[in-house]
Amino acid sequence: MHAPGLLVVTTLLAGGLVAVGSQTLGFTYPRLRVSIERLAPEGRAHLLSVIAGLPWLLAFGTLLLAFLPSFITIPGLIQDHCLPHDHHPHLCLRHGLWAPSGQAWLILGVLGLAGGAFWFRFLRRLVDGQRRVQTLLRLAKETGGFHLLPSSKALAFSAGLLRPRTLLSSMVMTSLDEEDLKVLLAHETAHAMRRDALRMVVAEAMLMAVPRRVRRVLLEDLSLACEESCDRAALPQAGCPERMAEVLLRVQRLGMVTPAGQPGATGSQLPLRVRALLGAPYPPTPSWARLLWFSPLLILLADPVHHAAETLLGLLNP
Amino acid sequence: MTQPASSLTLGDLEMEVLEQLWRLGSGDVRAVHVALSKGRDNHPNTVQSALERLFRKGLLDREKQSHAYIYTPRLTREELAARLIDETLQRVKGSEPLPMLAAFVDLAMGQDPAVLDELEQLLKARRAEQKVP
Repeated sequence: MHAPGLLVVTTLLAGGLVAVGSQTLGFTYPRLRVSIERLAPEGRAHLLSVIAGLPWLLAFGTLLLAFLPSFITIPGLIQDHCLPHDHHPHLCLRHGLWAPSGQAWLILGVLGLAGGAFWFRFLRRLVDGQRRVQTLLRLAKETGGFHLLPSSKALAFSAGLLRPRTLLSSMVMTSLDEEDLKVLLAHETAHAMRRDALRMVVAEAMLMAVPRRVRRVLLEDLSLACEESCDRAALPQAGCPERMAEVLLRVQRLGMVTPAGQPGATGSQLPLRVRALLGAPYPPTPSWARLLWFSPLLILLADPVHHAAETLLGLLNP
Repeated sequence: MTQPASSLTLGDLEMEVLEQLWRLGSGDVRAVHVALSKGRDNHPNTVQSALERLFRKGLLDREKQSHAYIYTPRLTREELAARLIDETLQRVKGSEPLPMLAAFVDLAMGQDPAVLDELEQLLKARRAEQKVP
C-alpha cells in the first residue's frame, strides 16, 4: 500500500469509527446515566473519563486489530501468507496497493474539515482560558500555598492544567474563619492534586463528535463527580460531612451576587453536592481491574476486523 | 459562534509595566523603563510597545506632554481583577464554557436563596437526627 493510500485508509477508518462510536455514546449515555450516578464519586469520575475516551479507544483499538496481521508479519513473527485480493482492496502494510478513489478523498476531506473546525475552536478556547488563568495568577499574590486574588467576589478555585494553583479571593479570606478556610483549601488542593481541570479538558476533546447535548450532560456529570470527590477528600479537614456541607453553604451565601447582579439559578452543582454529603453513604466501588484479564481475547477479533475493514474500503472504493 | 479572546489578558511584560505604573501613579516610557530596569533588562522600544498594547486594550490613559506621552492606569489592580473575573464568569456560563475554569462556576455563581434555605433546613434536620439517641 503506498503512502497516500495508507494515510487515507487509517484516517478514514479512525474518523469513521470515532464518528460511529461517538453517536453510539450519544444514544446510550442518557440510558446508562442513572446506573452511573449510584457509584461513589471517585469511581464515577474514573468511569466517566473512560467513557469519554471510548470512541477513540474503539477507533484506535480497531485500527490496531485491522493492521495486526501486517504488524506481526513484519518482524517475522508469523510467515507472510497474504493471498491475492481481487474482490476488494488489500489492507496490508507490506504489499497492499490501494489507490484511493475520488470518493474516498472526498469523505476524508469532509472528516478533515469537521475535525479541523472543532480543534480550531477548541484550541482557541484552551489558549484563551490559559491566558486568563495566567493573568489572574499575575494579579494575585502568592501566600501560604495559595494565590490571593484582590476581589470583592466570593471566589475559590483551582486553575491551570499542568501545574494547577489554588486561588482564593480577598473577600473569601476576610469573610471566613480560619477553620472554614482550611476546609476550603483542602477541597481546592484536592482538585489540584487530582488534575481535575486537565481531566475536564481531555474529556471535552475526546467527546468532540458526541452530540452537543449529551456532551454537555456528560461533562457536567464528570464535573460533579470531581467536585464530590474533592468534598470527600476534604472530609478529614472538615471532620464530618455535615461540617463540609456547612462550609459549602456558607461560601455560597457569600457569593449570592453574581456579576450580572442576578442569581445564577442554573449551572451550580451545590445542591447535589450538599445532598450527597448529607445522604446515605455510597456503596463500595466495584473493581474494574479484573476486566483487563479478558483483554488478550480481543486478539481473536483481529481476523474478522481486518476483513471487515477491507470490505468497507471496497465499498468506499468501488 | 466562537467568542473573541479577552483584551484583559496580559503577558509578563505588560503586567510588569502595569505594576510600575500602579506604583508610580503615571509616567512616560523613560520613567517606566528606568523603574523596570531595576528588575530586568528591556530596550525602551520594547517598553514602548508594551505601553502601546496596554493603551489599545483600554487599560491606560495617555496625555501628550511636549514630545512624550504620559501614561496613567485606568484601572486599579482590584478593578482589573474584577473585570477579568466578570468576563471569565460570563464565558464560563456561556454556551462555550472554558473547561479548565469549570470549577470557577460553583462558588462564584449565585444560587437561588430559596434553594440555600432548603439546604440549610436539611442540614439542621440531619444534625437534629444525630442528637437523638
